[in-house]
Amino acid sequence: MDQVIKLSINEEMYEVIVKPKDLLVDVLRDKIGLTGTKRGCDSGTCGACTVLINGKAAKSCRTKTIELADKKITTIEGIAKGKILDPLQKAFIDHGAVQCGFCTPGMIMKAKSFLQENPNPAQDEIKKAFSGNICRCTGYVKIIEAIEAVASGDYE
Amino acid sequence: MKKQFSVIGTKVPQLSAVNKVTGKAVYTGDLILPGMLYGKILRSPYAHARILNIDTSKAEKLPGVKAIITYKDVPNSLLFGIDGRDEPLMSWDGHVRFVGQEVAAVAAIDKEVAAEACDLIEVEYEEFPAVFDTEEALRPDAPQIHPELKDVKNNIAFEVDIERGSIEEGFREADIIVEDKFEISPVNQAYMEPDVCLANYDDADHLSVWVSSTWPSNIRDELAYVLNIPISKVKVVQFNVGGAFGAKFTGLQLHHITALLAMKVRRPVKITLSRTEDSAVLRHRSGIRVNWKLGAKKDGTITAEYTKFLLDQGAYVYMIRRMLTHMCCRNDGLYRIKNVKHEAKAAYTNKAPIGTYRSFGDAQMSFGREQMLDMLAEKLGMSAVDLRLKNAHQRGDTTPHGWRLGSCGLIDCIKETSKEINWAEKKANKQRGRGVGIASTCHETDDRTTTGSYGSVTYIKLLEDGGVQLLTGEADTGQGSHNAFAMTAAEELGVPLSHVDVLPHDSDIVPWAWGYLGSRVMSAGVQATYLACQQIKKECIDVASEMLEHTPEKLEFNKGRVFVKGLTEESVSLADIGSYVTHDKRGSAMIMARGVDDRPTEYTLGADNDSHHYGHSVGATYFDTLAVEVEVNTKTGVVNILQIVVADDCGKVIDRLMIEGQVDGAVMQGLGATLMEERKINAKGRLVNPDFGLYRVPHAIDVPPIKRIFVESNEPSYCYGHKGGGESPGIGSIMPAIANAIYDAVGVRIKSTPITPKKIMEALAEKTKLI
Repeated sequence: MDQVIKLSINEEMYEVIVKPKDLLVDVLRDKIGLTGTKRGCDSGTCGACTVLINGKAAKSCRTKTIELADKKITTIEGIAKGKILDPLQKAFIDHGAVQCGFCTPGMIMKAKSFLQENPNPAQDEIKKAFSGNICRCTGYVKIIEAIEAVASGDYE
Repeated sequence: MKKQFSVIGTKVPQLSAVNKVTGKAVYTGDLILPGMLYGKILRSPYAHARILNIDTSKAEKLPGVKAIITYKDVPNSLLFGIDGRDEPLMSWDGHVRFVGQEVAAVAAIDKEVAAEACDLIEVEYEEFPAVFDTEEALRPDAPQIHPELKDVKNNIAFEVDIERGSIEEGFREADIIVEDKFEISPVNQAYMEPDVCLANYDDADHLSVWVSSTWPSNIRDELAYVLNIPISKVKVVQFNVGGAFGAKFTGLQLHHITALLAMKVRRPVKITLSRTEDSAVLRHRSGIRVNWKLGAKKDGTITAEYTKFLLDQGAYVYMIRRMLTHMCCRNDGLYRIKNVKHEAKAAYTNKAPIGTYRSFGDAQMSFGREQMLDMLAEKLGMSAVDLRLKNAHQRGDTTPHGWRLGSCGLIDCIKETSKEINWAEKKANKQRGRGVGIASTCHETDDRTTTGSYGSVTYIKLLEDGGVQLLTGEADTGQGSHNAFAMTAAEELGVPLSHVDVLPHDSDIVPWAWGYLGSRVMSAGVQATYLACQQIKKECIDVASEMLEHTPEKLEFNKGRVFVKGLTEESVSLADIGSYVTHDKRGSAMIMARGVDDRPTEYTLGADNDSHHYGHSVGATYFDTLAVEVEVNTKTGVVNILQIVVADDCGKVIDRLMIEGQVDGAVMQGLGATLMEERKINAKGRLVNPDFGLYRVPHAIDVPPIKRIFVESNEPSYCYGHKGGGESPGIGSIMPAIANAIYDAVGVRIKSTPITPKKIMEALAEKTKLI
């Protein structure tokens, strides 16, 4: 049955009509028009749809929208402050961590959550943490470098 | 001549990167047009069957359904395919030939209704016996997949038989002969963005189609041809592409079906494939079985090479002629072997048709070839590195198929990788369970073996602030080709990169192009851009002549300004010129220059599309070598990659940041195909691992230390000495290099991919038994 709920996305309130089974990725993309969040698979295995829910990385293709009424949702569109990019966004550009760009929003959102939990990660910890985010273009090398650069304070 | 560059060779992040990191970059799947409907394709659950009846009446009654098409709506003339038009948009003759083949399609107000409508379409099938194995397909009693094609016998889609020199003589000269058989599994490109198409058909009969493609110009042509619409009324648009790796190449069923639905309802229709659907039908890399035979003299000179191979084509011909000839001719670009023979067959099977995969046809041959070299080296008592160095092609050579090598960095690639990995030291002090392996591949750029043409066109428009816009039909699917074009313009014209823009693909505006394949956009596209810049300079001098009141001969172009020779204070800038032609001349003298990379091709297809293919039919050939050190756990069979060193002879680095990323990406993609990836079907021909959960691709945790080396061999055919790069090292060389390293580590030779722990354990057990 359709329900009207209020969602806090990127610090703005949206009122949307959802069905209980509606996934966040589809609501973001089709109803709200925040298409930065991508859908790359059917099974929560690619990570392209990663967003933050109350600051923690979550796969929006595995998240029912109806459960998010009191939560703060942050998408890739919500992390730059106006024209000032987030350090991760800058580092991804500078390090060539972006090729086709389809995995990029999910990677950056995952990195944002990961670095909050672990601000000084070893390389192996980064590699392990990204086991749920696939990139087929870069071979991950430059993505790992970009995350390391942010962790080491290059972008403060 | 060493030219000093200010932009070429530097690290320039992708121009599109900023929109990609903020989520603003537009992909076709992001678009929603007013009144847009959602489409869904109903696919065959059977690998081989005849459709007895399709009943759409229940689906039609479902509220929200706006259009349904079946093969009954598709005239039977609508066949397509690049190397032979044997492929329908939908099963027009009621004959379905693989699981996932298009049977019907629906456009509805939302995705749920479209899916529900597909479920309500009742299709009655008569199932036929199917054949999935290539060798079985060739048997006379096998089910015939294309009985309607009178020329097709025993499911053979295409054959090639090429001999250069005399292999009989070559093997007679040999002191040592090695023979073996190898097999590689079919794998998916597994790009991140499942294929998608949006089409609109307006009341003036204009068809507009938004795509995600490597070759948008072909989609326009195919739509116009197949749907019988004037080209002037077909527009194909593309912004960003979420990866392709050789796939998403030509106009396919997805584009035609989306267009047909839009034409039926005269409203926009978008079809986004699910990952499962996309994997089922994507034009993946073929599986292949190859028999190899190599002969050599005692001193290591290879005298003869013979291959016989059988490729799994799937249900339709698509691009198989190209595939087979590429595989044969390219294979012989590496080593000086005078006597070669290739006998190749492609068999139809009841599986999704195969297609183009990054480094087209390389892995299929390199996996066997580079292991055979190691086997030969062992028999000769030679180092695998020395055997390669002894036979390696060099600058100035002509390959057995007539390709002239204007540049060749192969020897440098072999030497530098083996040095970097400490080959000699590792061999001298062997550690238990550890081994090193090496392999090389070459790849042509701007290949003309298939059509005798190619080349590229770039238009450049000078704007009134001195900036430029580039119009190209060549796609950028994420690899950064448009960066290379922009850098070329910045280098040649002295315009800052901030004032250079490469326009998104709109077929109404950009010139027709061949599409992204075989690094040809990097070679021919950059060349065309370079030539357009020279034309811009010439036209600027002509305009400046009027402005400065000097004859053109007295003027010179330097770093964005036109000067009077010898008088540095008298000059006009590109902005002055752009403004002058736009405003003072009221646009009448707009500067828009064209650059065309067009060069003679010494090759034409024979009258019967024969298989001789002799001649210099490539822009250039680029080379690579990959060395790898592995550790094999003999209790589990798990292979741990300790380090990879990869040398890429790309001629000249254009954008260092991009080519590094290309090499890394290719290495990791190749690592996946070597150790983990394989398309698997069940007994009914259904893909059992369509999603990333079951079709495992490399993750960040799988990344070994990768050291990249760029060999700049300075190719004379292209303006900067560049050619292509970033495809073959990872894709072609890594598989045999790892197999060779495993043999070095634990003494078992794995002759099929993926090289799984199970195969290694079985080989180790077999070896123990033999001892």
